[in-house]
Amino acid sequence: MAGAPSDEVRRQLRASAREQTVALRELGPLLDRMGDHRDERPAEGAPELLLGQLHRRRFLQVGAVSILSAAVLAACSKPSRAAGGGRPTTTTTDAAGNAADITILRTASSIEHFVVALYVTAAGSGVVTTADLADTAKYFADQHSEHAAAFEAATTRAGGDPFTQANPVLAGELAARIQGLRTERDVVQLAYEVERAMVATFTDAAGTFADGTLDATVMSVGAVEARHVAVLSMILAGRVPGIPVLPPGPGPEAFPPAGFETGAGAIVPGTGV
Amino acid sequence: MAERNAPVAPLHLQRPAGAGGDPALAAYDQGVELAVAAAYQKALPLLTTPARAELVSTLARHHAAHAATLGGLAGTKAVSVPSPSFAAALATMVAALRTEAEVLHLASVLEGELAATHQYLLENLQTGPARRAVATMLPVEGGHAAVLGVTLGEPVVDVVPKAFQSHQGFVDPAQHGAG
Repeated sequence: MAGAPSDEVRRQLRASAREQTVALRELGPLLDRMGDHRDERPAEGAPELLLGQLHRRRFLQVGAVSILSAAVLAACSKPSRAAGGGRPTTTTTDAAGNAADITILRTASSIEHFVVALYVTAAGSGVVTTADLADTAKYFADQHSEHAAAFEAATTRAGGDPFTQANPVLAGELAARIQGLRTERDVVQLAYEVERAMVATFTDAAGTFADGTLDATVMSVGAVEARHVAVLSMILAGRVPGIPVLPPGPGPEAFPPAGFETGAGAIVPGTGV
Repeated sequence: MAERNAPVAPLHLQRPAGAGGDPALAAYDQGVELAVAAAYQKALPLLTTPARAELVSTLARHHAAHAATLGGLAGTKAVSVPSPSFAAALATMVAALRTEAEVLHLASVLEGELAATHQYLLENLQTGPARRAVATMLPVEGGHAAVLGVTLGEPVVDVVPKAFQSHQGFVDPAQHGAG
């Protein structure tokens, strides 16, 4: 298992860090004018703070669904399995099914590499100054590196060529937003949204692999990323000791309120790979 | 933190389907979910902090919903009561609870066991639709466990202790019946 980003990811990280430094310098005046949002924080102990129920509308507006632009999503559109479309759920490993499996696995590793780069960039950007938050970012990045390596190995086992770089479509779509990160809250919110999209992506893939054993593989990752989502939500809600994210504010949902992951906001297999 | 993050390759048991196949396994998990939902309901009076009571009540609702979905997968093998063996074990634990923190700790342990049990199902269910249904529940149990861990003040490395969900610690059908 790789414990560190690949050379290409390192190069992208360095480039991204340089761009972010420039962007932060240009954004200095904006930072100075940044408002204090303490009044937005709900009363301590309110159930909504824990569950994010009051802020569902906000999540729908800025959550995982909006990670990719409508244009990209349209270009990558697919039939809905919920409506009975999409690939049949079978354990037969035919050539087409195997190719589709490889596409999902390559997309998965590309997303994992992207989020590694995101965390490493954020932790070293100067925006994140709280030590525990920087440690959390590095810890999550380590876990995503392991996930990327697992998906690369699975791609190889399936006979494919592993995708070992950060997903270029995600990187392009989110470049401006990454460059515009100004506060720790910005960083955690973006990480939350990306992790949320990852959970949706892996859940959406489950049950569709030609090689059915891959369902357990992707969900062994998705379940951990769901924990990341919950932790990031709690950080945004100011509930994690040692990480007083500023400016304080409400947290989004820690888990789906209905109790089921729906796959909404999933990144379509093949995007960027 | 790296040493806590040693690679844990996902295990694939690939055991042959039991006599009842996927419906029997789904029915077993249904009984487990019902048992956890019932245990949370019993523990609710100990939660005097409204936010914590709301949280555990929400989790109980989720598990009841999961049980209903699993009942649909189980078909004619669906159950209407919690797994007797597992429910009895949980009843003993709930009876010993005295504080909010103890309730949350037990819930945290149970959510971790449920996540492991769903992972076990993903490794053993034979049909894609069944695995897909379970996949919609597994991340939610992980989220539950993490929220409970944070609420208990656990450090992040304990809330997300491994890079991969495994079936270790699953509620074993061999111990609690069915399959």
